[in-house]
Amino acid sequence: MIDIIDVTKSFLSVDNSRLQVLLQVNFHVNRGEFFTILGPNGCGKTTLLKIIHGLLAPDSGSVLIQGRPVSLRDKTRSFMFQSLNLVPWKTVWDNIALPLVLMGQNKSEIKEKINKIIEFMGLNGFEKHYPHQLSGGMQQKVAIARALVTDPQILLMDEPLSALDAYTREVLQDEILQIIEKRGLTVLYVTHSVDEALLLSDRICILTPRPARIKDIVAIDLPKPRRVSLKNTQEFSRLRKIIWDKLFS
Amino acid sequence: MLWRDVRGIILRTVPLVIFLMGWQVASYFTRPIILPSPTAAIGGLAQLAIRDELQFAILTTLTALSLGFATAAIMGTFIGMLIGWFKKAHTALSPYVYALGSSPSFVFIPIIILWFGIGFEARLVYVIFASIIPVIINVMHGVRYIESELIELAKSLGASQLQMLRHIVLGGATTFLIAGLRLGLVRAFTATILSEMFFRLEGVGGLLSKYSSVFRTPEIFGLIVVIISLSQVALGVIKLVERRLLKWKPQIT
Repeated sequence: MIDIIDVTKSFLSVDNSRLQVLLQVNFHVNRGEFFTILGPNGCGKTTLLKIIHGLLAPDSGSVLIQGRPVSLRDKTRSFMFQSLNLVPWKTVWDNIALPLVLMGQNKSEIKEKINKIIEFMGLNGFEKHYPHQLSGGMQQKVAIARALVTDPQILLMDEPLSALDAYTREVLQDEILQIIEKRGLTVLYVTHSVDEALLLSDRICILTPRPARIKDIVAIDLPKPRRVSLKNTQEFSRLRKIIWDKLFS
Repeated sequence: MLWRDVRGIILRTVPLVIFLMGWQVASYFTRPIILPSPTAAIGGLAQLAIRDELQFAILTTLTALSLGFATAAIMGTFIGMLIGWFKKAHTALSPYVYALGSSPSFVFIPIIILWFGIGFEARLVYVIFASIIPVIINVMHGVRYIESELIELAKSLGASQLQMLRHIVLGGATTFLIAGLRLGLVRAFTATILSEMFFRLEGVGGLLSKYSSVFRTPEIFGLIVVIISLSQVALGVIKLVERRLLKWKPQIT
């Protein structure tokens, strides 16, 4: 479904020297797979995800989605930002509508889709609220609703839960698991939390510190459907140790 | 109404009362042509109102002001967005915008009279010209300070340049736009009164000019009060616009 081929990226840093961020990254993500990119802070995970969505161009290498070069015009993907990026002057309703409005869909079509997604995410009654009037968890749900409203096949998520408290985080991890099962989405997920990666992923790709290279790709064969309670099992602890060792070796 | 509000109103009324009393007392010791009493000023205004002169003048002034300022606000927002958004346009044009913004607009009065005469069109042109620059400058700044994350969001959704301007840039610049409107309104009001006094005599400014030339001091004082009141009404309208445009902001007072 998604092929990342020899992707290399560097940035010009403040002192005009080249900062190598990604070095010849290669992997393949299958349809319906939950694929997590795990790595230390500042290693280039976000850069990699943005390249996969087409928000940044690689210096060399390429990204193919279903065999075709990636394009921002293609609406089969949704990107969820770490900082959520809800538009502060738009209501919950208008925020969720934004992707559809930009696609030029007509009003009745938009209304129907939003009503459906608001029901699905349990956001009823909050349609007219502005983002600052919502709790962190609710804002997160709005961002998820906005990402799902276009009915994408691929979801790219950049540490979407990192700003939440531990409790809300677990609640939303469960919620994300259920959404993805229900919708059969292919997910590319970026995180620096080993527990989150283990709980959610089919495979975890571990990156080295900058310049990021692939250190290892580990398949997680924990039984499905998974729930947060899985974190207390022995098997989970065993896998956690394996990932930690690989991350810090 | 809360006690806090009542106290605020009382506190604000005190200086006005003291001022009016001082004025009344001072007028006892001065010749009326130099300083008429407040009651005489009100009497002068009443005279104007009875002859319908005042109402007509206020209407004329407000028409030029609102028409000119609304045009400046809309055009200024549009131009400011374009100059702020397109880097090349900003490099090429912003120095000239600032140059116009920092020079007194009345130096253009002779040229405006030469080109547009001394009637309504000329006043309108002058009001627009005087008030559009602060709107442009502020919107321009607002656009340049928009959070890069929101621009990235729109990009990730495949927005075109036009959609970007409409859905992200315009909203992101509203806080600055309001600041520009406040500054612009003051300039627009000044330009309206000035053009009424120095083009063909019209409106409240025209009345002020007319009664000045015949030393009708009570009317002059009365008209000054009218002009100050009108400026407060205009600022009140801006406050309403602000409340409407910025209702999405946390804790707006």
